Amino acid sequence: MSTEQKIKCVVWDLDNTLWDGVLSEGDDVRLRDGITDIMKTLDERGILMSIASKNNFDDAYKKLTELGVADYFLYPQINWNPKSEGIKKISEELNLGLDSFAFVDDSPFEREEILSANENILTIDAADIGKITDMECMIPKFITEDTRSRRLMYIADSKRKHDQQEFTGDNMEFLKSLGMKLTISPVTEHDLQRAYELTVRTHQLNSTGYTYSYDELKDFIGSNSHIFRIAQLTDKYGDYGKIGLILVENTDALRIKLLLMSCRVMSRGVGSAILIYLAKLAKSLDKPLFAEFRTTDRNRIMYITYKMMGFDELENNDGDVLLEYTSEEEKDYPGYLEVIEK
Amino acid sequence: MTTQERIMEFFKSKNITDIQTDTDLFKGGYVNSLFALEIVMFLEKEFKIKIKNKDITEKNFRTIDSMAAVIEKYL
Repeated sequence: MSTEQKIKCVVWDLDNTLWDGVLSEGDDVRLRDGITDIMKTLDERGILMSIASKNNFDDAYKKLTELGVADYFLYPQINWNPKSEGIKKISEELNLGLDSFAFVDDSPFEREEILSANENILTIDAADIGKITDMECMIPKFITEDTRSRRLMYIADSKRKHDQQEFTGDNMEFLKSLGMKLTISPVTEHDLQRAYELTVRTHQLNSTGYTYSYDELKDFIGSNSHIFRIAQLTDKYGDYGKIGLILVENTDALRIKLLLMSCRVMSRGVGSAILIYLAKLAKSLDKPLFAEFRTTDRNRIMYITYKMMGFDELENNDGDVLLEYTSEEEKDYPGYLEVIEK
Repeated sequence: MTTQERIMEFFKSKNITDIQTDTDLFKGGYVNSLFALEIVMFLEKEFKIKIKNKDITEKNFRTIDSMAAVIEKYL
């Protein structure tokens, strides 16, 4: 088991960091040598990028567009506010914890100030830019299809969020308007790297936080005593990718060892739908359904999901909880989500 | 305001206005993980209580009436 923290988002300063020169002083700024390759590499590794810069937004964004790099950056914070506020905003928009952020700036003052947002942000001096792609924390263990298209998925998500804010009806109507399809399929060898990636990247929507080695995960595929499923979500804006993982021990009873979902699908009803799927499965096999839960400081939302879906707590040893599904009513999938079982 | 009315305010803030205090929120599909967490956090803040794990159940959160009954135990 390992919990090594990998960087999920790199936030760049602009003046004398991303480009040489100071835009507001009228310099004819040029991208720093080698920066394009670095950004391309990080993007291919699925590391997101954004900007925290003290500049006039319109001028700086126009320049980024001219330089052909504007599309790399999600939720750029270009304004005169403290950068610690900017990075918090980015973290909220991306729904990623600040302890998985890195911040690159030439100014020691700004590198210090950013830590007031979260002391675990990795700060990097612009002079050390050449070392970034070789840093251990910038190298994901696997690169999957989902990794490579991560930025595009976040862009689709930003479009969704924008439309949601403009939407005037209630949240249910909005969810219905998305036309979501959740496909739950057996994990195949092709999915293993993504499955591994999900177990190490997911903290909030993760019932136990158990991690397994690639080979252990591989063994679950053919195992008669395990049910191992991966879930994919799509909607009218596009594909969210493979966003959920379920590992259930299948003996005299079903026992959920792992239930996790990417934070990108929070509030889409996926957790409830998967629990309904497992309840149906247990019923069809005529077996009781248990779930292991390990309390962390971040996953209370999963505990509440289990409880509200009709699971009761049987045991609690210092935060290691055993739950049993005791709901008597037959549940159906929410009307806004089409569930496809493969 | 009654306890029910105070809880109803939360739903109104989410643009959910077509429910009664006895509407089955689970059947209606109103409750997803985030929403469930938000309800619990709202109740804890609004009524200045800490809801015990044993009280977080499907039965207690099925309707606004049943939530109110749980809250009132703490007050």
